[in-house]
Amino acid sequence: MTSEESFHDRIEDELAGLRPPPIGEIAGDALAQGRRIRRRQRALGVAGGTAAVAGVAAGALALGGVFGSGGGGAPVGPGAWGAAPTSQHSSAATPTPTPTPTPDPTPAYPSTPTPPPNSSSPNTVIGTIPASWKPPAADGHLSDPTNTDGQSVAELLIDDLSQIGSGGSGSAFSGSSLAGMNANATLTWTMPHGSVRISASVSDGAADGKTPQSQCLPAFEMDYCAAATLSDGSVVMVQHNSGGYAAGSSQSTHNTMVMITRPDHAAINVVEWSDGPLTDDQLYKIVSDPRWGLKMDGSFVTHADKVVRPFSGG
Amino acid sequence: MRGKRVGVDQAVRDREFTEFAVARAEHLRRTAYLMCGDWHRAQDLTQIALAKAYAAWHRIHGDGGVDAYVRQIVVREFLSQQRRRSWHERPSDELPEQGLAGGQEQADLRLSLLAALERLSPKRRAVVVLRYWEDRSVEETAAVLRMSRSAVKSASLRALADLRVLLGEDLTV
Repeated sequence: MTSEESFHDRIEDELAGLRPPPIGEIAGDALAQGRRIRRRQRALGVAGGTAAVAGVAAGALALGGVFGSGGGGAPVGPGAWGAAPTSQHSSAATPTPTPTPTPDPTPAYPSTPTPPPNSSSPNTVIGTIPASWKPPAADGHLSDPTNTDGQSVAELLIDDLSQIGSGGSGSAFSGSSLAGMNANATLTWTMPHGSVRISASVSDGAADGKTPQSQCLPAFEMDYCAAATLSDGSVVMVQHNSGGYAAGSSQSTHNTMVMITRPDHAAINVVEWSDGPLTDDQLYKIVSDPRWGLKMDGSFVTHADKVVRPFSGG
Repeated sequence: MRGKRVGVDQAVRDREFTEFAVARAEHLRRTAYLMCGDWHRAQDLTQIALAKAYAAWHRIHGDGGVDAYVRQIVVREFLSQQRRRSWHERPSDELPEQGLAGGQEQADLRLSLLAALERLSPKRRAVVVLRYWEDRSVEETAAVLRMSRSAVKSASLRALADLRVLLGEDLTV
């Protein structure tokens, strides 16, 4: 018996002593899910487009809704805590963008022209970043720089969601933070025409010493990818994917991620799951909000800590 | 070669895929379980991998590559999820001081190999699963994990050392 066989046999023995749940109709379910992926690939493939930008998948984004932690169930949103500040900066800061009264009617996928699938990555359609996506506006100085925490991320995300015209309310949020490294929040945003599980994160994009990915490299793990470097040096990436199934549910998930890494190394990432009705354009408006940062104004953080409750996590 | 497969009739594709999925799903789920330690999550990983294999069937079928393809997706999807989960869970690479996994019978004083696997960092766990459960070569493991051969060897050695500490025995591999 070789050493590998010994190890393998021991695992085999221990697995045999477990009682896993029935595997069910996984073949049929996978086939149905696979057909949906193919339909989407074909739909994307005929949309047409120009100037494909190659890019890499920083990893598939499936199942985020399944495994994303859910926190307290208290409603969140402008209505839940009254008049949330629309800007956490001092008076010298960039004015709050004018709210858009109605949701962007552009469907998420058709909004991004796409060329035929790249032959070197047949499972990933490589698209382009819309020319309308401008770099984030210059930001002002913070009067009282304070470490961003999960509550602050949740409040700013809610504020952005309100401003892009997706009027609604939030619930079931969670989040955490690591000072100077990352702050994140996840919540459910319920609108008149649907709800979306959405997560936002701001992190130090230079923490790992790597250059932001500005190209979509061939990869299996995603359905669609687009990336570009904007005129100010910001790197933007969009990924679409068909996710897995929520535990105990037969509903598969779809997820979209839009990420920007700014020249100041702040990396802002928004992911929506569960067939969310938000478009790529709307998600980009969120990540390009210049207020994002690992430090926010102290008054904004304090306010967020008061109104975003209950809050689970860091 | 691939061009010939592109036009494969859907009924044939469905039949071929179903035969493969039925035959391999249980093994795939066990592989996924060894990495994530949760049967429901393992089921999700397996289904994702199979669904993507279906979508790519014209390309991967016929080259004997379906097994390798789904294995790769399971592993990469697992690691990708771990990266996202880490925002919330903040796992540590440090080995825990206590030996028993939660939920184990008190009488079971010996840490199982499965429980010990769960204590490894995700990447080292993936290396161990690929090398010693899936019997993949260093080269194949390196390709799946996008690591160098030396990195795979190093991770493998460290993972086994961790397991020996956790198990309190001279694990033979």
